[in-house]
This record gives sequence, C-alpha cells and structure tokens, in this order.
Amino acid sequence: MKSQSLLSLLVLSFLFIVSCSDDSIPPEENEEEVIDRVALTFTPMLGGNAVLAEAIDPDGDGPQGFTIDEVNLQANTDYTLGITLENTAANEELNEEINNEADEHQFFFAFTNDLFSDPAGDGNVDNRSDAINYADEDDDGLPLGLFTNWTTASTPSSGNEFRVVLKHQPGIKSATSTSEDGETDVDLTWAVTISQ
Amino acid sequence: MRIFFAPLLFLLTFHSTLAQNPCNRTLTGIVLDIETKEPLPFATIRISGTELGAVANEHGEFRIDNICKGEIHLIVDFLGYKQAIHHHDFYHKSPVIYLAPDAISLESVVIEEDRSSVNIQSLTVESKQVDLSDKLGSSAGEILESLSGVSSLRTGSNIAKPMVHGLHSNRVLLINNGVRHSYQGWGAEHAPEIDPSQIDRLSLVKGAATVRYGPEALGGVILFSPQQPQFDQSLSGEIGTGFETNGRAYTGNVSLNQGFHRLAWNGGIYYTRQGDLRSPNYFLTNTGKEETGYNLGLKLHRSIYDLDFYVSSFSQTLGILRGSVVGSLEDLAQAIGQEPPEGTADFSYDIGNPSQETSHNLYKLKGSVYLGEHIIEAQYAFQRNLRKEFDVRRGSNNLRPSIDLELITHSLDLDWKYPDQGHLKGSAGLQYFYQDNNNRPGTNTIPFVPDYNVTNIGLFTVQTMKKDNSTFEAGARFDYQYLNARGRDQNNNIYRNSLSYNNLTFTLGYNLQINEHTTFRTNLGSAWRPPKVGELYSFGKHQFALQYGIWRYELFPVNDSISTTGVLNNDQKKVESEKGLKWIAAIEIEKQKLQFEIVPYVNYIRDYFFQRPYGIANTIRGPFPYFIFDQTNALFTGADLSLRFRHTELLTSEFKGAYVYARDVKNDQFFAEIPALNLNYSIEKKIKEFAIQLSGEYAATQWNAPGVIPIALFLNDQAEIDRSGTFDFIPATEGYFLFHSKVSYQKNQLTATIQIQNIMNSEYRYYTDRIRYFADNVGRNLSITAAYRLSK
Repeated sequence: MKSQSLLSLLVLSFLFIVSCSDDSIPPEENEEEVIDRVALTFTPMLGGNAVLAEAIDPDGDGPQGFTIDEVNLQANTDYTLGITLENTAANEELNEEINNEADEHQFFFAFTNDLFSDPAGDGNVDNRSDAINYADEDDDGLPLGLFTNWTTASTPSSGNEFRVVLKHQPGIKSATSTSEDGETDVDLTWAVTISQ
Repeated sequence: MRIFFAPLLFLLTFHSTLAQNPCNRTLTGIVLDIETKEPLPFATIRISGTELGAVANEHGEFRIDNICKGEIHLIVDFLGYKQAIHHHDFYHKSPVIYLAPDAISLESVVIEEDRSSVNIQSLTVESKQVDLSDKLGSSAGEILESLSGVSSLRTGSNIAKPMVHGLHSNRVLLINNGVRHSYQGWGAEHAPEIDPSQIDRLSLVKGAATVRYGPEALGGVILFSPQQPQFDQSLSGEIGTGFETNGRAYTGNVSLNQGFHRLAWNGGIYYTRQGDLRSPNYFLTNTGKEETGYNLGLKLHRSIYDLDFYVSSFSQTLGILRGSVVGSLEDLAQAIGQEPPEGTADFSYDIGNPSQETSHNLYKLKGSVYLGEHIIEAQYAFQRNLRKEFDVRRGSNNLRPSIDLELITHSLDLDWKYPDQGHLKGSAGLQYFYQDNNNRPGTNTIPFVPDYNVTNIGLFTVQTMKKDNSTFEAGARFDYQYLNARGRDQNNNIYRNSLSYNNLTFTLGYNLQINEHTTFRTNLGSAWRPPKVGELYSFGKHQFALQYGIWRYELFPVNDSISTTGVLNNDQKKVESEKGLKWIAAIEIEKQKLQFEIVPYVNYIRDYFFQRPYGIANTIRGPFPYFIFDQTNALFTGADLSLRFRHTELLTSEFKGAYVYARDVKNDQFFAEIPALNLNYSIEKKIKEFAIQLSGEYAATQWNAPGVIPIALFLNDQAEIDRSGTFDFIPATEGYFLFHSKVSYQKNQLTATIQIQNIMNSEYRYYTDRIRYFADNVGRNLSITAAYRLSK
C-alpha cells in the first residue's frame, strides 16, 4: 500500500510538471436539424375558427414519447391545411428552410379510407399517384405540401388516423419519387374525429 | 519535453573515454529464406575490408571470431538470392538475415532487434514482411487481414478497422512506428489513419500485452513498422503505380533512400484515388476515396548512440455508400429490401455526403544510448489527428461537418535494459501520454462526445529467465490515468467531470523448445482500459438507433421508467474500468517442408462495455429502438491456425483458419458482429520469372449470432424487447466462397502483378460490415501494379 502511494506521489508530481491546464468547453451549437414541434392548422375556407393540432416531443432524441393532439374537424367542410415545423430548443421555425429547399422535400399523407370526400381514398403514402390536393409546388412544378386542401366526408366518424410524412429527397425528388425514397424528417400520425 | 533529452546528451560525452577493445569480438547470426523462413546452409558471410568470414552451417547459423572493430559491414551471399549488406555494431543483438530469392520482389533484409526492446515471446507474435508491390491502393485494414487471427470491422470497403480475436476499437492497440497511434478509436466507423504505403513490417501480438504497451491492449497489439533508413547506400529508390478496374482506382508512390556511414535518410510520397466501387450488379454510389501521404526519416548512428527523427502526414477523404443513409426505422426497413440501394447512380469519382475527412500528422524523435551493458532509449512523439464527418443534412448544413474533432497527443517512452545477471535478463520502462481532444466550432449540432484531456503514466518491468530449453517470463505494470471531460448536454448546458484510475497488470509466460523444430509457448496476462468518453457521455441518434452513454440515463425500477435529463457522475453511478484476463498458447512447427502453427486462446473480460436495447422511443421521425451503454462480463475463445506446405521447390500451399466464440456470460447471450469461421487456402507455382497463385476464401454464416427482431414488428408496435438481450434487425449474412488469382513477374528491377479478386463476381455480404444491411460487397476487380527499383 505504501509503495503504491509513493508511486502515486511520483506520478502526480510528474503530472504537475508536464500536464498543461486545459479547460476548453465545446462551443454552444444551435441544433438546427432537430424538429421537435409539428403543428397542423386546418383553416376552413369559408371562414370560421381554425383547428390547431400539435405534436410536441419535449426530450428530442430522448426516450420519452411526445404529446399529440386530436384533430377535430367539421363534416363536409373545405379546409386548407398549413403545416408548421419548429425547433423549439433553438426557437426556430423550419418552414423557410423547407421552402428554400422545396426541390428536395415533399410531404406525403395517409389517412383512414374515405375520411375525406376530396381527396378520396387513403392518401399517397402507399401509392404516389393517389390523389392529394397540393396547394404549393417547387421551382420544377412538383408538389411540396406545406399547404394542402381538404374536404371532409359528410358522415361523422371517430378513431380515424391521419399520417404526415416529410421526406428529404436531395437529388431524388421527381414526378414519380415516392414516400419510400429519401430520408424521413417527420413521420407522425394524428387521431381524427369528424363531427357534424 | 526537452528536459528528458538533456541527461542523454550528457552521457554521450563519455564516448571518447571508453577503452579500445582488442580483437576479441565474436559475431553470431543466422541466415534464412525470407519467404519460407528456412535456413540457408552454406550461405557466405564476409566482413568488408577484412579477411574474416564464415560459411553458414546446415541450420543457417554462423560464427565469426577475432573481430577487432566495434562496427563492421557484413556482406551475405547465397546463390540465387539477393545480396544483403548490413552494418553491424556490437551493441545490437545477433542479426537474423533474411535473404530474398532473385525471383521475388522483396529485398533481402536483416532484422536485429535492439537489445533494449522488450520482447515478451510468450505473447505469441506473428510478424510479416509486407510486399506492397501488389497491394498498392489497399487500406491498412485490408493489408492487416493477411495476418491470421485478424479480421476487420467495416463500414464499406474503404473503412476497415482491425479486429483481433473478436475485439476491436479501444480493445486493440495500434503501434505505428513505435508510437501508440492516437485517434478517435471509440467509433466503430473510425478506421485508423495509417498510410498503407508506409507499412514495411507488420506484427501482431496475440496475447494480452498491457504490461508492455499500456491500457487498451485487451485483444492484442498490432505494430506497423515503416522502412528504416539504410546506412551505406547510394541514392536509391522505388517507383510504383497501380490501376484497378473496380472503382477505376489509380495509385502511385515514390520512395527514396540515401545512406552514408553514420547518417541515413529516407522519404516517400503516396497518392491514391478511387471512384465508386461496383458490386456484381450495381454501382456502390459514393464509395470513392482519395488518400495522400508523405514521410521523411532521418537516422544518425554513432557507436554509443543512435538518433532517429521521423515525420509523416496522411490525409484521407472517404465516401460512404449513399444508400446507407436512413432517417427512420421505416427507411431502414425500406433500405434492407431494396436493391440496388437508393441513390444508386452511374460511376463517378465525386465524393458527396456521407463522408469522412481525416488527417494524421506524426513527429517523432528517438534516442538510444549504449552504456556498457546498459541500454537506454527515449522517445518523444507528437501526433495531431483531425476528423470531420459529413452527414446528409438540410441546406447549407451539408457543407458543415456534423463531427469535427481535433486530437493532440504527446507521448514519451523511456526504456531501460539493465545488464544480464546469469540466467536473468530484465528491463524496465516508463510510458507517458497526454491527449487533448477538442470539438471544433461550426457543426450546428451538439457535440456527440465532450472535450477531454487524458493523462496516462505507466511504469513496467519485465524479467526473463532462461534455463536449458525453457524460458520463463514475468512482468508487472502500474498505470495511473486521469481524465477531465467538459461537454454540453442536449440543452446546451455545460457538464464537467474529472476521473482518475489506478491499475496493476501482470504477465506470466513460458516458452519451451521441445525439439529442433517444435516450440511451445504459453502466456497468461491481464489487461485493462478505463471507460471511454463515448461510453460515458454519448447521446442521441446514431445510424438507425438511439444510444445513451452510461452517465446519460437513469433507471427507476420502481415504476419501470428511464430518464435522460441529467448528466451523472461516478458518485451517482459507479463505472468500473474494463479488465481482461487472457490465456494464450501456441505450438509452432518449422520443418523443411512444413510450417505449422496453432494458437488457442481464452479471453475473459469483466465489466465489458456494450449496448443493450432498452425500449422503443417514439420520435418525430417515427419509432426507434434505443440502446443504453452498460457493462457485462464477456468470454472470447477460439483458435487461429496456419499451415504452409512446400510440395516441391516451386509449388507451395498455404492454409489459414480462424474461429472465435464470443458470449455475454452474465446475460447468457451472443454478441452481434463477431467474425464467423473463416478459412483460406492458396497455392502458388513458380515458373521462371513468374509466380502464379490461386486462392479460395470461405466465410461461414455466423451461427452464434443474436436473435432477430424484424423491423415490421417495431413499426406495428408489436416488438417486445428483451432488455437483457441483444438483437439484430436481419439474420447473420450467409456464408460465401470467393476465388482470387494472381500472376506476378519479377526480373531485375521490375516487378509487375496482375490479379483478379472475386473471379466469379459472386454476390456476398460481409457479416462484420455495417453496410451489410444495404448493399452487396464489391464484385470482380482486376488490378495491375508495377514497381521499378531505381539504381542499385
């Protein structure tokens, strides 16, 4: 034991001579990549209150899940859907970034069959050519999806699903690229109720 | 560091006071064939400028008496072999002279270990002279695979990290040119930045060699030695070039050497460029690479001391398969089923994201002093390692690295070999290194690992006792390591911590010369390594899983929950160093026609760091399984086998095999990415200036792989994760056979080779390659190399 402490002493004195004191701290970086809040805003075209439904992931890459609001829509109503992407930690909205890179991004949608009368069907996640009413496009005339138009079905229903997938498709985006191409930036499913 | 050299310079002044010796010196040595390692009886050895000389006996051994001078030039000749000229002084051990046949491209070499260098034979060292002429353009990792027992952990074919007996990264120590190679070894996708054109000699220490080499040597130690400057040689050099069809790679290197009587220098430059590789059916888009290296060595020799100076620089840009980028588990599920991978395009030399840019600079100064029977060596080295990693990101972030690290290392080694005492030989040493790791600003992402500084001091001693045919070896070492880390958590809050570790390691060995041809060796050694910052502090998404370092999560068994909000320290969660105990044995037979070696081993590692799955996290990108770093106890056991048989003078067969069995003995399960059974056979026939080689390579399916949880189960919310259990998303890759051939031609100063790898253009995937999820390995490749020796 004694020899060990002697050795430690020797070692420590050596350290004292040779070690430089260094107390650098990694620079503070803005985490620009992270999307931790996605908000859907359904605005009735003929006026009325907009419906806001958020998904928030407070711990980002942590193991906890996120909270996701239910979407309550009126039957037989025309809506414009606007999607907002946010990095709450950096207090930054990412829509502008997506807009600037519209030629590399596209939203895809999937929903319970016949949840909407227009577009009909179940969305274009499973089949790219299925109908979605994109209201915006990139410089090449290809759909983007930050804004889309929807007409709800005429019959009330609950327990429906509405899935939003944002794909990053640098160099891949085309008239035929699908929800399976590129990397996933967002993949969230909201519960939807349609009431009279 | 200057202070350490001052006493050495002081000692040099004793030189002139040493008495002149009378003509009573004796030199013994041995002459062997460089390829077969067989003795060359009747080789002639002359001492230049004298009448003295000798002829080797049937075992290749020779002895010359009555030598007056303290330094001599030996000239060694044997019919059909290249002459060797060797400058010898009596401060070095008996030389081992390896003559190269005229017909091969290797040069004759003389190996004389510095008497001071501590060699623990029982650790079982496999050494190999590397003939680079047909390996131009290969990475250091690929060249290493020619040693039995070495495989690699890959991220595509450009990034190959050596694995020894199933262990890699911080469990295999790399010594490049006598210096502990300091790099970001914690990442499985971080290959060592070693200039392949610099490798002249490779050695693999298979036993646990912490005592001699320091922490981290749990699996083994790989030593890379460059060509040393040769004395007494007029300006000479070599120019080499190569071309490969797969990847359309082109490579060139030039090396020069000039040696005077007491001063010698050598230098070299190397460049290679490769475009997209091709699997049998499609291009592997974004798998190009570009590498540049240069080096300069200087050696000053006086009879009482030697001084070595060495500087090298190596930089790489390495592309990673575009189709291996996934944002979510669903993307991964998609990518696994898809061939060709997403983003596959036509051939290009361009390297986009993802990619890595690395550079490594080494400066080394070494002095050896011979004071009677005492030998003292001091070595100082400075290393600067830069690593940038580029991911596929949004917008201008694509131009920014997401990992940008600078690692500076100072190391100092002192070795003291003291005089023999009867049967006892001994040496002692001190090893010191200091690492300073910094994140460089501008990544736009919270650093994956903190800034840190590590100081390590080790003191060791090794004793050898020889009695009759037996040699006993024993050694012990004490290490002290101090780590100071400063990082930022996910909210950019600063955390800091200091840690210190003490550790005592030992080695015990026994060597027995059973008979003229047969040797038996065995060693029991301990090894250790302190936890690495990645294991303690990493946080977030890495490839297709989330991972949390051991101090980035807290478990609450009461309500079965996990929290990752705080950053813990040793008081809140005690983390032990990893400690290994490795037993190794070797039986070696060296006969006229047959060389055989079998090396079984058992390695038990306590507090082995690994990642275990703990749950499924729902994120904005979809569900991800998450893994937590934890510690377990691991057992690695297996054997390496190598056999070389000379059917006739011109026909030789070689067989190699390696098997490793690895198990998590605490949780009773297998680990993923342990190399499967591997067998190689090659046969070579010589016809005049030509040598024709055919070889076959077999890798089995890893039948000891962990269970599979298909991704669909995660996506459908049906996966049940066994928290103690490792798993993989796909089954272990299927076994495969590959065939290769090579024709080489050697005449006078020219060496040329043509080789075809994967002749059948077979589709296969390598189990320890992270790209196995996404694409087939490379297909057929034809390569042509030529090397021309200038002058001499």
